[in-house]
Amino acid sequence: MTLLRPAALAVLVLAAPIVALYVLRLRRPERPISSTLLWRGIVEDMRANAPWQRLRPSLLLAVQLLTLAALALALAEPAVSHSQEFAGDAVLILDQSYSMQATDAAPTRFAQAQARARSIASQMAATSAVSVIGMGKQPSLAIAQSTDAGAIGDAIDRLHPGAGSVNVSAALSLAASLARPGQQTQAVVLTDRSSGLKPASLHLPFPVTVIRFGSIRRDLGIVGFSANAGTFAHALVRVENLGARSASSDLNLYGDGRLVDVRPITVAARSTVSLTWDRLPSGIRRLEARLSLHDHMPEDKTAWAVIPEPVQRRVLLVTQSDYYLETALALDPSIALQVVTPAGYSAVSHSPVDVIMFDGVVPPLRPSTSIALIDPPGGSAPGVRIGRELPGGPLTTVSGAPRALTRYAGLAEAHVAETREIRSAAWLRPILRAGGAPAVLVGAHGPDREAVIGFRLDDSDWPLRISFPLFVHALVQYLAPGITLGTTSIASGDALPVFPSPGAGTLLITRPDGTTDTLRAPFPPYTNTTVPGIYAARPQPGGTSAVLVAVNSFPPARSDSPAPSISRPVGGTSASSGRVTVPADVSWIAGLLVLFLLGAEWWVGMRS
Amino acid sequence: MPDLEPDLLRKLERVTLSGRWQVAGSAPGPRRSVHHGSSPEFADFRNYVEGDDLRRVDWNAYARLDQLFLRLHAGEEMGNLSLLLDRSRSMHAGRPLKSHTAARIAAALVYVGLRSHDRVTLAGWSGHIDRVVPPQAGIRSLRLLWDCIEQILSRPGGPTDFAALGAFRAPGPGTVIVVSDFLSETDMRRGLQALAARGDRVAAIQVLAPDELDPDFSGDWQLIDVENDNTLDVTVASRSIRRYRANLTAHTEELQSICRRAGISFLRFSSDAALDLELLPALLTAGVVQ
Repeated sequence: MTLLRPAALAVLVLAAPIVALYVLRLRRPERPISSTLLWRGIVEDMRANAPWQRLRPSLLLAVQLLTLAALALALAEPAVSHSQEFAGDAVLILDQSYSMQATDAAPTRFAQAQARARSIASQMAATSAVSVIGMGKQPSLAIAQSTDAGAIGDAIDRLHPGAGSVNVSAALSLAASLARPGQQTQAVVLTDRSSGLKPASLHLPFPVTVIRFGSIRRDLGIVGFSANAGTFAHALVRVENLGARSASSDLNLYGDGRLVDVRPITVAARSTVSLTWDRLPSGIRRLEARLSLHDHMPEDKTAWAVIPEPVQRRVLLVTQSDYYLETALALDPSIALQVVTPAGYSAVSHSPVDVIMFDGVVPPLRPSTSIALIDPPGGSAPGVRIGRELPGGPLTTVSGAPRALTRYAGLAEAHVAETREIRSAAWLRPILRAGGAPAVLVGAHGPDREAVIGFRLDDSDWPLRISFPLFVHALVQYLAPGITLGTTSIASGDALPVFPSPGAGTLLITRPDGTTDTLRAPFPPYTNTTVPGIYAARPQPGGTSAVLVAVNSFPPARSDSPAPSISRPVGGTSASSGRVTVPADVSWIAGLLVLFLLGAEWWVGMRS
Repeated sequence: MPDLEPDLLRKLERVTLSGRWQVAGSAPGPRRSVHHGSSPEFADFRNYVEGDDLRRVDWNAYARLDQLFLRLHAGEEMGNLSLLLDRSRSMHAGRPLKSHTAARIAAALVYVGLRSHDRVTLAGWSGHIDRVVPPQAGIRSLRLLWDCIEQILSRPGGPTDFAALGAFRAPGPGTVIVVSDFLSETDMRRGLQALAARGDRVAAIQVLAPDELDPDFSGDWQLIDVENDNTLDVTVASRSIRRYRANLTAHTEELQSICRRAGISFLRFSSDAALDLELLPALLTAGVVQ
């Protein structure tokens, strides 16, 4: 017999206070009597000045101790191993949820589940096909209907626990799809879950055996970590106690590898505390939060965050002279503005910039970066054909235009005297109209973006409005997103969107373990993010400064709830083609014993 | 005022205090005395006490000696009944209260005494005799004496001291009855023997509560002695109950032995006794009444 939850035997410590109740002299109720004369000889051997008395044999005490022992046994979930017949094929489903990383079942719950899966697979009959499914956020088929013991073992070994919760229904649906017609199939779910595994609610065509791992876990973990830049960099850490008891720890905050702060925290069971830092030392980019506590979940004791760097966009303005545009661009501190005349453009056209704005001119060749054409002369231009001049009118926003560009435009009092007739390619969409004609268009062509402003700024009162520099700022942001990676923080295993800098040919991504991955155009999302830590991306060719992103394996909220028992196989019949050993829960016997002993205690108490 | 059942009163009307002892009284009565009486035959003088018949004062002696003396004659004399009521704290314990039952017993004896044309004296005592009602005679004194019984026993006194009984002086020869629970560590032998040594007929009536005769509680208790506030921690179980009963039996036997040697009649009543059924047979058996 084995105990599935041996930690529950800890309740046996309650035997000490029970015995103490019999040893300690308790405060007695008072009873006035006429005289103690007749009682004196009787109590001589009962009185004592000590606060305890001799432990006398007591049937009630014996029954109470037996009840406690039976209760501890019931809570420890005794199970007896029994050989169970498996008929036909087997589908092994391994829970890949975050909680399977808990070390309360050494070395981890998941490692034990893998070992049990290999054991079951090795005991199957040679003709039985075994499928292995990883039960994660989405089920993954590790191997399908294989009779090769080595391949099955390799498939089991390739599985690893994830950072999120699991989709039980999807995993069992996948298992159901693997059942061969006419062939008996059984499924074995190796998990630490207690809910969502009732076979009756799943309507499966085959029996399901659930083998549970782990017990009550202690887990104080970091469930959230974010940082931001402002006048002062600030950070927020959320720590949650997923265990059943209060837990205390020190939270150490490191900045660029140096200890910044240490804060002691105490978190009640099933509660969360948040810690904030409002004035972090300047210059820090990498933050790391560590809990000093060691418990059953070492994975969530460390988390990372990145303080984003202000983005500097390089804008080249090609113009003879445009006071309004130069002023609007110079107002934006995130823009590094360079102004050249059309004659001087060719000299700098090869230096890397994020945006080139052509005012009144059109480049002979479209540069390989984002561009903006302001009042292009008639004729052909990249993506557009400029026609005759049209009468203008009030500027209006086109329905469906990107809100990021128009939300601060405030065009109610902006007008245009004349605008150009613009015939654009399909990828250019108008966002502003003047007198019914498209006046401003934007779009993306390949990795580069383009904007067209079809009128002279001198022919409009818009540059005199406060909305104009705001629009120019939004337009530069649109033309040069400026962030190599789509975010500064993702969950472990999630895909990282990549937006390379203009002109970047490759992107080198350095992982926390020091290895490097190379992404090439057209830069698909980066998916090799299973290892938590800080990833650094460097565009090649381009700047040497790296863009950082933090990858964390925060635990899903309340993902772990210990199962009370092991379900029995349901449905189906078995033929003698293979046998595996699975534990059968017999805690119900201990439960009945507890009930019987409680009745005996009541009877003994009444009798005495 | 003690409450006696009419049926008990009718039964008590048929008895008188026992006359086995010759009495010397200062008033005529139905009982034959070997000492003094109102017959023409002079017997003796004695000092006048309050309540004596002034017609029997020897005025000649008063003229000569300036002191009141009573002339005593051999013949029919009025007897004396003295009731010594224990008013200690312990009498106010038990359910029903022992003092309540003691009051009813005393009321019944007062009724018998007055019906027997005896003079009845009441005295309350605990540490010492501190409540004395002078001798009263005649059935018209019944209400007064019953009220006095109520007053004596309504307020608990101090701890019991049986030596105080030796200080009691009866107004004349007769019957002295002590009503108590006799649960005391003081010298009962000395007090009772002092009473009996004066030639009076003495009876001891013990009143105990039912839970003193047969304790009906169990478990862990802290017992508090109501007389001296001493405490005892005790675990009451069947074994300790048996030992308590043995102690009670030994205590009772010792009390009975003292009474027997001093010629004192001994009676015991439970405070929940049906006095209308049990009192008169017990008094008759003990020879207190006839």
